[in-house]
Amino acid sequence: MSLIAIIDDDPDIIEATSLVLKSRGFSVCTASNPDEGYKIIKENNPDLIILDVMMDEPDDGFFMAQKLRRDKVKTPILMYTSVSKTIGFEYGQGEMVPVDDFVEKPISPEELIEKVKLLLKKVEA
Amino acid sequence: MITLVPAWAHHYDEFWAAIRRRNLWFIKLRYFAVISLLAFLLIGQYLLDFQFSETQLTAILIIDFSILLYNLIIHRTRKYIGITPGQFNAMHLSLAQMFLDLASLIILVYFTGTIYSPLYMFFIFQFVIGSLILLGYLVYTVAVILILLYSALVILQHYSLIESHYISGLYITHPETHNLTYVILYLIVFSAMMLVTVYLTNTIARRLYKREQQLRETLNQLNEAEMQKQKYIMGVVHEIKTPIAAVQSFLDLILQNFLGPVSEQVEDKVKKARRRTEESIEMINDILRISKLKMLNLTDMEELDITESIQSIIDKVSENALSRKISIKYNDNRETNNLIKADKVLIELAISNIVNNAIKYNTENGIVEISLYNKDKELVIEISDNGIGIPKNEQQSVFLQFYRASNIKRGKLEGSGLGLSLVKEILERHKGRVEVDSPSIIGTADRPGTSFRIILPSTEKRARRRRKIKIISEI
Repeated sequence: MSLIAIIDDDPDIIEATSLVLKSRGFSVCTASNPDEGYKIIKENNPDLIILDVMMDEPDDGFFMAQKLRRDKVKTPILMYTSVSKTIGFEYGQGEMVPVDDFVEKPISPEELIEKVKLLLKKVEA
Repeated sequence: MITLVPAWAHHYDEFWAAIRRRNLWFIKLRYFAVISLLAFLLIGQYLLDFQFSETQLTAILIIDFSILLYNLIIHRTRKYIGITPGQFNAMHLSLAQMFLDLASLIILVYFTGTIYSPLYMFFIFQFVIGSLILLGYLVYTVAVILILLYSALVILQHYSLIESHYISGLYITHPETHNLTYVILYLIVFSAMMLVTVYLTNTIARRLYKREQQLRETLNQLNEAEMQKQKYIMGVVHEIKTPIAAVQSFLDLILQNFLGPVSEQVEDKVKKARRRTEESIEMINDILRISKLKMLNLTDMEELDITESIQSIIDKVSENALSRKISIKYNDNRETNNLIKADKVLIELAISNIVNNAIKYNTENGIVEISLYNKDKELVIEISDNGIGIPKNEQQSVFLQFYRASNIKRGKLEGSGLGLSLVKEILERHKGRVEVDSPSIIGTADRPGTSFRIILPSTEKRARRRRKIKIISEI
């Protein structure tokens, strides 16, 4: 079964996300800051990375995603944001934000599972 | 090209706007002067028996005609004259106008009696105007030239070295009965009056401009402070959202049985908690929206077909409307589908906010009617419902931040009271407005409802075709 890395500085979000993903049979590994995040990604080589956009510093998540892509890590990244498109913060894919999809907090379990499955399917294909 | 503009005003839009505005005034005023001069000639000749000489008549008519001619030319070319400091600009035009006017006036004064001309007072008037727009040293230079020229004329005429043209009907005795002392005294007073006038007006005008500029700077600082405030609000609200989002994520885990089944009683309470967290998140999102709107002065204006926006809004809300057994009606009463200039995202946000309210504050079998019509070159989007309505004395307050009408039962319908203030803010950005009426045009005694009118300036341009709106939720 697929391994998913969850990198978020909010332990409750890690717990809730892990619970949802584990219930669907995914394995998870977690980290609470970008440095630890790199380590678990290098060590475990996950199939998907869930990354929070803001950790210690705003935009930590973006920088981390950019760094991963520079290091040729091609693993799909699902980004947690707390500002949505409805507010008008348009995140687009591309150089600036090299992530594959977004989930807005609060996380709806169904939406999360759906997006995770979709991204994993893309990798397989 | 001499730069006539003071350095402090180079990039000062209001200064240029004032110069251009004044240029236009002078043009209008000059037409009036042309007519007045002609009237002076006609009334003087035929009613007051001025006995103009042949030379005087010809000269005054030629001057009058010349003024009319150059005024027409200036009027026509005014539009094409820019405001770039290094080139021929509105300021040079002002100076050119002043020279032309002074030349005309001095010739006119000469032909109406120089020292005895009733028209010489207009010099003062001209210098007041000149001082308002021209740089100090320029006005002084022009004033001194004029004083010298005028004095030369008066003195030359005093010694009969050049011909005098008195209006003979105006004097009882022959005018040349004063001595040199009178001439000198007259000229000293005239010069002093001119220079003092220039000094006073110039100083006052300059101070006014500077004051105005200071005011503008203060206004910019205020805007800057407002930005900072909005940034702060966004930061704080964001921090508040994080824990609430975490809470809601856990509540969802419970409600969706990720932690195993829960008793009905627990589920009921968790559901209530979930509703409250959702309410807070909605409120937070609304605050973030407003703050963002206030922070970004930029709106992305494009020409858009309003029927397309309305279709996409109806598509989005139809499911919700259908589930609440509310039907949506749409009619476009305009003769032509003119485009509007608007930020698509914002304007759709404003309209959908009102349409969503119309559904939210409606009851089963309710109606939401969207009508489009034109009124005085403006597009009116009227959204009416037959829901609970808004009490008469609260209709203006609904646009205030955090205001919720008293007839909304607390806890029954979620809402932050921010939606309509957002709508108002968006419309102000578009030079439009929003109006409210309750009872609405489709309301009845027991279902008063509310009509909202979004009014936007419309362009002359027509959309290629009028979209036929598909309404899915019609019952």
